[in-house]
Amino acid sequence: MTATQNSPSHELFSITLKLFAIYQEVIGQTEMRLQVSPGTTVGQLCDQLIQTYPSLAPWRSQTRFGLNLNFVAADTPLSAEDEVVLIPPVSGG
Amino acid sequence: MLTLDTSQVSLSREEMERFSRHLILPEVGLEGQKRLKAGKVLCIGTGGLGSPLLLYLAAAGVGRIGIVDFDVVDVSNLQRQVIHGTSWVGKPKVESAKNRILEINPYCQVDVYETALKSHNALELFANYDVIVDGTDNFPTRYLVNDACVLTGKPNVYGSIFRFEGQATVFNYEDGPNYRDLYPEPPPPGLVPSCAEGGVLGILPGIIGVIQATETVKILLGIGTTLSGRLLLYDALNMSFRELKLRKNPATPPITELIDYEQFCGIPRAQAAEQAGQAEIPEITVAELKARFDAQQDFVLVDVRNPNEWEIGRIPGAHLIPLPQIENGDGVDQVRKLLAASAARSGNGLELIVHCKSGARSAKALKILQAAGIQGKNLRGGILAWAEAYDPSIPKY
Repeated sequence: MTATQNSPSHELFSITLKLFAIYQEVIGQTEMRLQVSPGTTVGQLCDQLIQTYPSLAPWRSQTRFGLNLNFVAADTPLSAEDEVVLIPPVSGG
Repeated sequence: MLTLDTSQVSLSREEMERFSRHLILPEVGLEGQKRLKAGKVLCIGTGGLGSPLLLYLAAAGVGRIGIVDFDVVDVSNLQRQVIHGTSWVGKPKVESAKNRILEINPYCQVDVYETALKSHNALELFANYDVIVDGTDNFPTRYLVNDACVLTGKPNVYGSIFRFEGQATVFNYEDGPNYRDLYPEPPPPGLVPSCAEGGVLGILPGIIGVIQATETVKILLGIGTTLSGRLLLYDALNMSFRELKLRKNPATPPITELIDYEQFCGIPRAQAAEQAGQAEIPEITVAELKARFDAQQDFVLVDVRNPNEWEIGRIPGAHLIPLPQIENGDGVDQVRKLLAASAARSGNGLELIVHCKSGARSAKALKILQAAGIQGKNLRGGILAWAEAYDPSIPKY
């Protein structure tokens, strides 16, 4: 996966992405280590993922973002060693 | 802490013995057991989640349990809906559940509502109970349960499942967040597969339902720390639990009245669009397909189900090209090749017939094929209709 290049003067850093439900199913992994550039937000991270896996696009607006075990808004910037969780709604009972 | 009037509640000698393991827990004790007996819990749905949680609420000594479900027990429910037994197949779920609850705890008062929860009956129903447990299986009812809980001031013990994963929390409790703080807008219809469409590990709702039962009992007892403000995520394949802090969202509009939740979730519009879409796709009945087989006509039959469904049963002569392959383009090429090969064999272009389990996915596939210039017919009712009419050896699933 490519990282955003909006802050080329800064070093890339690593984050962990945890995948649930449809994200896990489409990507085929429960967890990914990714390199991102400073300034990247959780929403942009999700957008990059959708570029690689376009079938996830309809889920974008439904997905909630967890950052270090807190729900956060899409425009929250990432820091090194952050843990991001993508949580789509499920309805089964 | 929930206000429960225990002044009129007493426990008989038999009840003292029955609940002795609770009575010797200092956190429960006689007063706690009286609170459970004074407690009134309404469970929406007696499916995968409702089944285990009702068993434990009954066993724990909850005094009054209401159950809402309009459905009857189906044999395919028994893999996970453990409150129901084989002898209850075809009978109302609420009656089956009541029978089992009273078998576990004859001191429980069971109210059955063999009806669908709707905007016109929810507030009146909820008003008679202390805690509402959401064991439903669809988004319109989840938003309805949430909003009715907010309007009646009842805690909403939430659980939800998907294949190997579950979510659980407590909404609308002690000024905590509600479902709309987590998911303000419903997903478009058809995006999130149901258990019937996507499958579910039978044990999964057992875990989530028992978590819901635990939270319900804690709320009634007024002990411990509930999941209010925390969303618990469970992954059975990795056996991992993870929780995320959930807060009220100031941007969530206040809930002032119940609305039309089918409308809110876009269901009528989606159904109309689906019907309009299907109308553009020519159909063939299973009788017409049978006639083609009987007349030994040459045609191309494509099955767009998944390989694991193909293993369950198939129509002779069908070619498996799963819908996801058609969606990513590879399957379109495969269909084109099949048609070309059959044309070479027979000397002219052959009729294309596409089927799935019951007709929706094959209609989707045919739309994609149409856009690629390939015309075909959809088998109405899919392999289930075929099995029903002509081939009892194909299991219904």
